[in-house]
Amino acid sequence: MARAAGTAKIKTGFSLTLTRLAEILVLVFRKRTAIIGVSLMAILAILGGLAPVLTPYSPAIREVVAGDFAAPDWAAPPDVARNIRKTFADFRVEKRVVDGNVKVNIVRTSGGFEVVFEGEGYASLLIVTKEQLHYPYGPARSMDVRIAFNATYLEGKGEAWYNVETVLVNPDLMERGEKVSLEVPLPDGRNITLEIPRWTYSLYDIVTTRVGWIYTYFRGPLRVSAPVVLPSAVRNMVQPYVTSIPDPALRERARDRVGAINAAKELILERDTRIYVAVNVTYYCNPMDFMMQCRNGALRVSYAPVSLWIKGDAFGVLGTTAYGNDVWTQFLYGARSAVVFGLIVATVTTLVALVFGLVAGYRAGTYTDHSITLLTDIVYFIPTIPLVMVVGLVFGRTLWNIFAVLIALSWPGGARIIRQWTMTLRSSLYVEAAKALGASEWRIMIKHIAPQLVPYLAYRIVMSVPGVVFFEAAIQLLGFGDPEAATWGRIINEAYYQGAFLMNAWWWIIPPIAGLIMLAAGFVLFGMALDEIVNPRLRR
Amino acid sequence: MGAGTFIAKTGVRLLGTYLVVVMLYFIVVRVLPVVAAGGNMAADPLLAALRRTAEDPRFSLWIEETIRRFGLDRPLVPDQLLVYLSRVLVFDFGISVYTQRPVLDEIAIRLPYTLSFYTITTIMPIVIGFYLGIIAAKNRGRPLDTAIVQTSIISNMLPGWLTLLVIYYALAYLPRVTWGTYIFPLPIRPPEIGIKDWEQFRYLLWYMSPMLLAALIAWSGGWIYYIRQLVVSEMGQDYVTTALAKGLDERTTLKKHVIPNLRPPIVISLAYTIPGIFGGAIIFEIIANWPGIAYFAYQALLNWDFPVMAAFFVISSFLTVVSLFVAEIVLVAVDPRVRTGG
Repeated sequence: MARAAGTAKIKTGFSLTLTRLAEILVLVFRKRTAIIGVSLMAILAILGGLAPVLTPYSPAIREVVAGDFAAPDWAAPPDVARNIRKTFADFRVEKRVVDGNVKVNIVRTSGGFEVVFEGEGYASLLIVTKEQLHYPYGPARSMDVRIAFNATYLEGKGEAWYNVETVLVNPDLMERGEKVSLEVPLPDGRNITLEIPRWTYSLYDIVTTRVGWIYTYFRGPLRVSAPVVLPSAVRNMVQPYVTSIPDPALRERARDRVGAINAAKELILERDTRIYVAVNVTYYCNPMDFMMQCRNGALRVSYAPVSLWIKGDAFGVLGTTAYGNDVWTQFLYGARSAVVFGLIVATVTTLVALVFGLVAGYRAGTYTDHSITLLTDIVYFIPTIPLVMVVGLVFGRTLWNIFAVLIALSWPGGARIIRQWTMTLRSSLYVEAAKALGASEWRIMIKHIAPQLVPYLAYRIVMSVPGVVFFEAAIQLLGFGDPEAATWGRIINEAYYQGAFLMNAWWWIIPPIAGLIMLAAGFVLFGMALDEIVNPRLRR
Repeated sequence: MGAGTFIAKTGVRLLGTYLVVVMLYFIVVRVLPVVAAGGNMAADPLLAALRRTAEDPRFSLWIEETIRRFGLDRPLVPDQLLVYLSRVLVFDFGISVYTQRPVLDEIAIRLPYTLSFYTITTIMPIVIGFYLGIIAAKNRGRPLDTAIVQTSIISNMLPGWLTLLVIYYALAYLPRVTWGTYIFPLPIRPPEIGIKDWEQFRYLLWYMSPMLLAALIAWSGGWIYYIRQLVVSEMGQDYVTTALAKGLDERTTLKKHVIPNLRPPIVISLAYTIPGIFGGAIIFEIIANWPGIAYFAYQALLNWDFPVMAAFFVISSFLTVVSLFVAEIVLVAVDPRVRTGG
C-alpha cells in the first residue's frame, strides 16, 4: 500500500484510477475466497453470454417445446415419452363406397390429397396415410395434431352435403380389439358399463364440431385449420360412442364421465405401438330427399398434410414449465439479465450516491450540504417495495420502471458514507495544494477526491449486485414484476403460482433459486475479499 | 449543545422529513398520474379503478355516491391534498372504499397477526446475534469463529423470502407430495382472523413456524456478523488492553467494559432495520397468505383502495420516524459523547 500512496502523488485522474484498481485486484486475487467468487461470477457470465449458442429457443416468445411439467431428459427413465414429430403427407384410398350416379375423382394423394365428387347419390371414401408412425415409449400425456382442409363447390354446380372426419387409428390395439370399460352412474343408483374402443379417436368431425347440427352432413364451403390439442374434454365428449347414445339423460352422464379421460395417455397410446391417421370423406346429394334439396351437386375437398406431435414428458437439460416452456432457456437468459442488469443498476446507483456524497461532503456545513442531507433522509424514509408496486400499477410493470425506482430510492446509504469519506479527504494536503494551484471545485472533486474513493466504489458496486437481482425477484414474486422479462424472478414467480411446488417440479424450482444463490455467493465472496483490502482495519 | 436542544433539533428534523414523505406519497400516487396524463382528472388511478367497477350495473349508483362522499371530484392539488394531510396527520384514515368499514378497525383486527410475527422476528435475531457474535469474537481466529462467520455471511446474503420458499418446498410441499406427510402446513389455508379456541391458536402457531424459522435464519446472520465485528474492533481498543493488563479475565472485561460500549451502535442499527422490515413484511405475508396488515395493504393496492393504502404507508413511515427518534434519544441517554458533540 505504501507504493500505491507513492504513485498516487504523481498520477491523477483516470490513470490513477486504473492504477489503483489494478493494484487492488492483484492483492485481491491472492485470496482464495476472491478466486471462488470470481469463478462463480464467471460461470454465470459465460452461461448468460453463450445463451444463444446453448439454446435454440428464445425466452421472450413463450415457445411450447414439450408437454407441460416434462422432467429433464437425463433424469427421466428411458421409457418416458420423448418428443416425436411426424408429418403424414402421403395418403392412399383404403375403402371406396359409391352409391348412385356419383363420379369420384381422386386428383392427388401425395403432399395431402384432393378429391372431387360430382353427381347425385352417395359416396364415402376412407383415405389413410401410407406411412405409420412407430411409437417406442410409454404413453405420453399430451399430443398436438394440426389438421387443415378446404372444402369448396365447383362453379355452376349444386351445393352437395358432406362430412370430413379425421380419425387417429392405432392398428395394434385394433387387432386386439382393446376396450376401456367405464362405469357410468345413473340417477337411480345403478351403474351402466360403457365400452370405449381404444384404437380409434375422432380428432375433427365437421358435424359434431358444429354442435347442434341436426343432420349427419354439412353444407356450405368450409376452410378448416384446426390445432387439436389432446387431452381435450370437449373432444372426448363428441366421440361417436358418446353421441350415439340414444337416451339424452344417459348421454349427459356418459359425457361427464368420458370428458375426464386423458385420450392420449389412456386410449390411443401404449408402449411400442403404431399410429396412423384416417380421413373419412362422405358425400351426399339426393334430389329426392325433401329436406336436403340437392340437385346436380359437386364438391372438392383438398386436404393438407397432417402433422402430429406427441409431446415429450421428458425434455432437454432442465425440463419444462407448466406451459411447456423450456426451463433451461429461461435459466440461461435469466443468468444473462441478472449479471447485466445487476451490474448496470448497481453502478448507476453507486454513481448517483457518489455525486450526492461528493458534493455534500465537499461543501459540508453549507446550505447545499444541508439540503442534500435532508433529501437523503426523505428518500431513505420512502418504503421501496410499496412505491414500486404503485409505480407498476400507474406507469406499467416494466423492468425499466422497477429499476428506475430502485435507483432513485437506494442511493442514500452510499451517499452518507461517501460524504463522510469526502469530508476527511477534503482536508488532506494534496487537495489543499490543488486549491492553491487554482483548481476549480469540480476538478478537485472529480480528479483528486473521486479517484481515492474508487476502491470503496468498486466494493460497493460488487456488494450491491445481489441486492438488485434479489429485489427484482422479490417484486416478481409479489406479482408486480415485468411479465415479459427473462429473469430468474419470473421463473420463481411462475413456479410458485403455477403449481411447481404441488407437482414437485424440482427442475423448475431449483435452477432459479440455485442461480440466485450462486450469483449472491460469487459477488459477496469477491466483495468481502475486496473489503479486507480496502478496509485493512477489519483484517484479523 | 445540551441534551434537550439536541432532542428538539432531531425531533424537528424528523418531523419535517415525515411531513414531506407523507405529502410526497399523495403526489406520487394521485397527482403524478394526472400530470402524466396532461391534467386529465380521469387519469387519477383511484377514479379509474372505481370506474372500472362501473361495468357492473349494480355498482353504477354506488360509484357516483362514493365519489361525492370521498370528495374525489374536487381539485387534487390544493383541496384534496389538504384534506388528506389534515386527516392523515391525526391518523383519521376514514373508511375503506371497498369494505366500507373504518380503516383503523380493519387494521386493528389484523394488528395482532402482524405484531406477533414482527416483534419475534425483530427481537430474536438480535438476541441470537448478540450471543453468537460474542462467542465468535471470543474465539476469533479459531475454527468455531470461522464457522459462525461463514454461516452468518451466507444467512445474511439470502433474503428472507428465498429462505421461506426453500423451507416451504423442503419441509412442506416435498414431504407432502412424496410421502403424504408434512412438517409444516402448506401456505394455502391461513388461520382465521379472530381466534376462538385452543385448536385455532395451535394451528396459528404451526402455520407461523416456517415464517419464523425463515426470518430467524435470514435475519440473524447480519446481526451475528455485525456484533462480532463490533466486539473484535472494541477488543483492539486501548481500554481493553488496560483492563486485561490490570489482571481482569476476558469474561469480566467483556461484560463490564466491552458490552456497554456495544449498545449505541446496536440501537442505531436496530432503528435503521425497521424500514426494511416493512418491505420484508409484504413479501412474507403474501407468500405465506398471512392475514396481517401488509397482506391487507397489498389487496388494497390491487383495488386502489386509497384510504387503506395511505394508512399502511403513513403508519409505516410514522413508525420509522418514531423508531429513529427513540433511537436518537436512547443514544443520547447511553452515549454522552453524542450530546456533547465530542
